[in-house]
Amino acid sequence: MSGEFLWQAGLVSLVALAVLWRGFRRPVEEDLRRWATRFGPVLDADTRPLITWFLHRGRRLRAAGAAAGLVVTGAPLYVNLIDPARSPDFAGPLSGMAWIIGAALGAAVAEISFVQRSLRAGTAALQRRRWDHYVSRRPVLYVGSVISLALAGAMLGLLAEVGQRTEVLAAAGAALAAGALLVIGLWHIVRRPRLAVEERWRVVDDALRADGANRVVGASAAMASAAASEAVWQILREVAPAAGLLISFMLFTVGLGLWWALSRDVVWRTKVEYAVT
Amino acid sequence: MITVAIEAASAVPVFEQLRSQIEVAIRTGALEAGQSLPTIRQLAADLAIAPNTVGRAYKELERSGLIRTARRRGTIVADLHADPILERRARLADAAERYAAEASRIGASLDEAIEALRTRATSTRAGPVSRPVGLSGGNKAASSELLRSLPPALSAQVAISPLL
Repeated sequence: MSGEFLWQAGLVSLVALAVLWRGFRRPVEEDLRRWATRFGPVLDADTRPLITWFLHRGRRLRAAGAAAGLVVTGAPLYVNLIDPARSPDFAGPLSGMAWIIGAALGAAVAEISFVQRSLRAGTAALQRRRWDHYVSRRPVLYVGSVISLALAGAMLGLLAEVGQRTEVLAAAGAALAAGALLVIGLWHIVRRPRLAVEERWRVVDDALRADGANRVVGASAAMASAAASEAVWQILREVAPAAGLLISFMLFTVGLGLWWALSRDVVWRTKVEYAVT
Repeated sequence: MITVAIEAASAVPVFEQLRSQIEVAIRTGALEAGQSLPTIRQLAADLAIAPNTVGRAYKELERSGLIRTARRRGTIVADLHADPILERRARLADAAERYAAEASRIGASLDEAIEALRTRATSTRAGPVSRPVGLSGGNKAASSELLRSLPPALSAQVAISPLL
């Protein structure tokens, strides 16, 4: 058993456990206050339990996804613990980014599996909901652009036979998955039933949707950026390795930064003009 | 926020409850011309009713000219005070779009579709069959007698009416 591999595998396991521990922690008062400041609902005895439950549930699913992704990322190390002679390069393409894919899928699952029931049956607002009520169009445009870049890069790589075929195909697959995650996630967030039409619950409802939409767009931005980063690297690694590395790194960093900002920092007020009777 | 409320226990059908509430909102100006209504699926999900029920209410409202379906904006409130010519053109365009889609769906050619439309429009415009009227100098009984004396092919095409 190699000491180096043992150290690395132990570190990956520790990080995965830390992610799980933090993710399964119940939101504290500070988390709730911060979230309310970002999205605008009033925290009171009625709304607090629902918001706490929603935040805790989403956090658990995202953490589980990220931890699973970390385990996949660390799989070569675990295998090398058993078989030190085996090269760690046996892992498939993008396996190093499995933690991103896992966390992104966790974010999508948290939204798609969220079954919201109306608190006041038989009432509805005559207001059409659209995805851009809940998230800025700019990051969505960014996701669309990087998906196009990743797919164009993959196509170029396949046609010109540049780069490693499996990596290029994996980048295209990840880009398509990011697109699917974005479309399905936003569709579900817009479509699920409204909590209630009273002003207080309307704001909570909008906030839950806005939080979900920002997380889904952030996750798909990270995933699409990782895909584009890989595609660009595969295209440029032989013709211009320095430029390829730089662009690839920048794409990857921008994707992660956007994910972080949308998930944790963005302040959003739902842009729906509610007509008043 | 303009809302609708459905009473499941009411004797009034759900689609009618929905239709009448939206109609009131439009006629009182609470919903303005051009404003988008929720999609059928969204409203059905919010009210926890079948999409077909919402679809029926929307269809009735569209038939009354209160709402219309715009290609990109979905279902919108129609402008009740709009220029009648423009409004007529818009409704004609919508109807033509639906007709063209249906004709395409059943595999009819453009010529067949136009011919069917022309035939239908001609028969609709013609209204009830009008027959030439002959005036007779006699009374009602004499007029009937005159009509009976005509050859059957001719008597089916004309009407005889007494002059006095």
